[in-house]
Amino acid sequence: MNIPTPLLEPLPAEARHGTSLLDAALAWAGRLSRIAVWAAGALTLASVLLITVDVLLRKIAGRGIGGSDELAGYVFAISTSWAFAFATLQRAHVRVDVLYHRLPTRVAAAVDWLCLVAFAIFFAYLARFGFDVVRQSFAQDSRSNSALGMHLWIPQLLWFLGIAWMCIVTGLLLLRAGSALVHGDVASVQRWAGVRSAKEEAVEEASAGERIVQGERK
Amino acid sequence: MIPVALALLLVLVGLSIPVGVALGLLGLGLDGMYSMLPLYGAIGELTWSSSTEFLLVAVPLFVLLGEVLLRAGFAEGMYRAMALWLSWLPGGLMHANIGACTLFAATSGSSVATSATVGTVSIPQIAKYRYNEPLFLGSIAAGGTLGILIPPSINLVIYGVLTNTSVPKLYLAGILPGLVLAALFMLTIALACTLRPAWGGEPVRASWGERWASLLDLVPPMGVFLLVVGSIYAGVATPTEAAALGVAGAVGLAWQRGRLRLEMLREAVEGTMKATAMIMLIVAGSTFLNFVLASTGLTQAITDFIRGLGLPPAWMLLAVVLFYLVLGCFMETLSMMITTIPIVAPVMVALGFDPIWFGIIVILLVELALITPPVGLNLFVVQSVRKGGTMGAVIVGVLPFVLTMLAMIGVLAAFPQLALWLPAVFATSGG
Amino acid sequence: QELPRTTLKVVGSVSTLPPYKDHELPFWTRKVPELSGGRVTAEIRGFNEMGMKGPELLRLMSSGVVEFGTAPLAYFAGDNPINEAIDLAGLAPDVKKAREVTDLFSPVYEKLYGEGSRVKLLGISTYPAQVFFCNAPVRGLADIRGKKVRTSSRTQAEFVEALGGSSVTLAFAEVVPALQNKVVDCAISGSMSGYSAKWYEVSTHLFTLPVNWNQQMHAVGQKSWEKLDPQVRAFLQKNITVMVNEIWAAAEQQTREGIDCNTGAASCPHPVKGRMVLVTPSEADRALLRKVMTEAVLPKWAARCSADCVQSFNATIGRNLGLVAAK
Ligand code: NA
Ligand code: NA
Repeated sequence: MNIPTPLLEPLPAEARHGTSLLDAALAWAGRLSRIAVWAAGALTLASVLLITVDVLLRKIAGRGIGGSDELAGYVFAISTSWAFAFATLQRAHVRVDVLYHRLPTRVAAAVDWLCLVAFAIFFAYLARFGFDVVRQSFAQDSRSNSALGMHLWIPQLLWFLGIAWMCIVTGLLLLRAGSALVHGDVASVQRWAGVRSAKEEAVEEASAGERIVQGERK
Repeated sequence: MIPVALALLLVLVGLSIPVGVALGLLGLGLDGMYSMLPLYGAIGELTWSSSTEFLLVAVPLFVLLGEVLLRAGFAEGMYRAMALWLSWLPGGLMHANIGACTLFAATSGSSVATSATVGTVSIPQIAKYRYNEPLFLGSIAAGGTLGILIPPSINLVIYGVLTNTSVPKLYLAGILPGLVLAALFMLTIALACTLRPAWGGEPVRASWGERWASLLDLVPPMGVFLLVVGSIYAGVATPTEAAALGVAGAVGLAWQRGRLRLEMLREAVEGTMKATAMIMLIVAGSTFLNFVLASTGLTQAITDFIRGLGLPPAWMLLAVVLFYLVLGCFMETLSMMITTIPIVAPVMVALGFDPIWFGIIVILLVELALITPPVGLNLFVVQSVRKGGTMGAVIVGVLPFVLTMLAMIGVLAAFPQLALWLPAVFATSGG
Repeated sequence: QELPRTTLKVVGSVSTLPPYKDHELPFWTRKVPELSGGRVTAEIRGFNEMGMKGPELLRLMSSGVVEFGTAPLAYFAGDNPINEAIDLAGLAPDVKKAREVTDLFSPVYEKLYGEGSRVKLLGISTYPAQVFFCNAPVRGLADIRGKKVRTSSRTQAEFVEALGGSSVTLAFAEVVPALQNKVVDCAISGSMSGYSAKWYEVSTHLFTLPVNWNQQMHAVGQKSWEKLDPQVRAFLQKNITVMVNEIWAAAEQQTREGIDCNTGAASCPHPVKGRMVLVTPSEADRALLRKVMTEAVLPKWAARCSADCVQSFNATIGRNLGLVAAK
């Protein structure tokens, strides 16, 4: 597998105030999150294939495999929970930035950090009670009430691990952006937790566009 | 409690806290302040339930479908063809946005998926032809809402189930208003761009030969479209299954044209997952908030208030429109429908309104909720597909379409036959 | 003697279907305040209105998030197959038998929920008979062979598979379009539930053999229950039992009404009538039902339920019906 350019993105240079360890951890978290999203995509494509085969069999043989819809539901839950961390690191969660853009940069940086705190609180609750869901299903060995009779703790555990991973990533981001905030390093806060600027996007889109064009020429 | 809830939400969203998290935290806050029961304990179960909801599985599939078509280069071709044909109109490609949304609405039961797909394909064209960015984005956000008015529609099915109204009749009732609304959207664009020609982008000079030749580029996307629609109406697949067939078709098409590459799939998947995570975080937060609102009796209090107004029918309708307009600013639409429809719809039917007609009114109000800030899922989807620039641009751009939609509600109130004619025709012909 | 002022929170069953609209809703919002002289009041919402799917209800009651709750037992079949014991496909051919079976087995459930889940069982009521809505000609049970049937529980799925049909799982909301476009040929649901959801518009044949019943439990979290004044508890238990009895009494009549209204019989009391072809079960159908139940449904269920569970079944329902489930 040839590794695409974003993976080789150099670690941020501003490892000034003892954050190099955190930066390294975050870089790894970014790689892992990206790989998790690819895996989620592979699972989604697999469920597409399964549904397609199921539909075709039902039409042609009059009898499908059954359960493809249920499995697609699990894949949906698992891939979503694992995509949370990726989306957060990519700062893809939409924020209503009408006021934000009118704030002085230092205040905006504080707000960015506050957003991470909000993420942390919400996902801490989600992880705490999401774990209960897995634990109880495991303790009772709950099965889905369908012909498939899936052991529910299996998809639920995979789903929960995605949320747990999101908690870890949020924790790392909190520390990294927090230390940058304390040191007045507004640029780093923006880099990790800010609202994406049009300029950043333009650069990425251009490179993606180039890749598409090159791909077509090959 | 209502003012406190609204103030809290405005503060959270105003602080630019991501909307899903803001809704979730509001739920936790209201639980702490007003509930005797430990409602937070339900957050895990509720999130798991909404994450496996089969009706929502279609959303990422349709987003993926759009990404694959885009990254395989088909979307570009389709859009170029549309540009050649349409750009003489005041507003050019923005009409193509509405047209594409209308077509796509016939395949997808979800507005979010419609906006995401058409947005993925069309947003790169803004800079290319120098369109007015806000209006262009607004046309995608608004056009996408047609996804739930033109059948198939998840929201119409939900209305049908909640009110025991015939889903086939609702589907028939949605068609004409959907087409009229699409026409009104185009009229809005044409009007805006006649007043301000600069908004309408650069016209594309084209010979008739080029135009006819470009039609070839429409074939592959139309093939996928026919696959999705055809499989639904031929009884081969449910709408969700049809979405999967569409993805399979798009991937197959890309492979057949030699454009399927691992790198391309990876990028399509990354884009899809980002959008899905963003949407599902909002669904999770909103599901929990809805649970808290229902448990603490807030929704009951609001709807009891509406019911208790005791106004004459016409005023009651106005009150309901205002009610959903305000509610729609702050709630995600699926939760909003599930909580309020079972109480509001019977009241309106008792007042003599036709349940099918009211269903279409409700869908129009839900469409409106999808594009009103601060919580408007279609706004967020367009913003997220766009990846950059401020949210403000999307909000400003969608405003003219909000007015158009309000006008459409007026039109439907004045001419109920718009919705009721088709169901009546098919009822008498024994279908 | 006056009851202490009490406000209750109730999560009812599916808010669009007859048991909720005709019984639960009026019971909690009108009867309870009326009978208690306004001292006890309640707020009720269907679990579907709360964004829940049902199976989480038992857990939420036991953790005190939900006070009073109602949900079909089939939803908890995944947690423990014993929840299917009284509602196996083909077990109870009429409402009288269904009630008998339910009453026989209630003590087992009471003990089970009381111990493990810390939930107090207040009563078990039922939906009208679960019957076949088909958008294809069907003359009897044997015709299910080769048909695609929407099922809503594992026991129904196994029943359909044993008949040679293929079971399809669909959300309740997806059934109407699926029947209309013939994605499925048949769907199983309560005769009245299917009428309420207007399934008669998209299907042609109503086969009225009761497959099963979809009994639902009325329960309360143990913690919430113990917080209530003993007088209020006695008041509620007494009246919930009355409501449960009413629902059972209505089930037979509603099954009849559902059949009449889907098929457009003159005796249908509602203004809108369906035009479905009525297909009544023959002796052969009843025999086949019993055969499939004893040879396929029961052994499969016994295989996934614990030894204790099978033994409780044999000692109660089994003895009554002359059945022995083998473990
Ligand atoms: Na649609
Ligand atoms: Na809104």
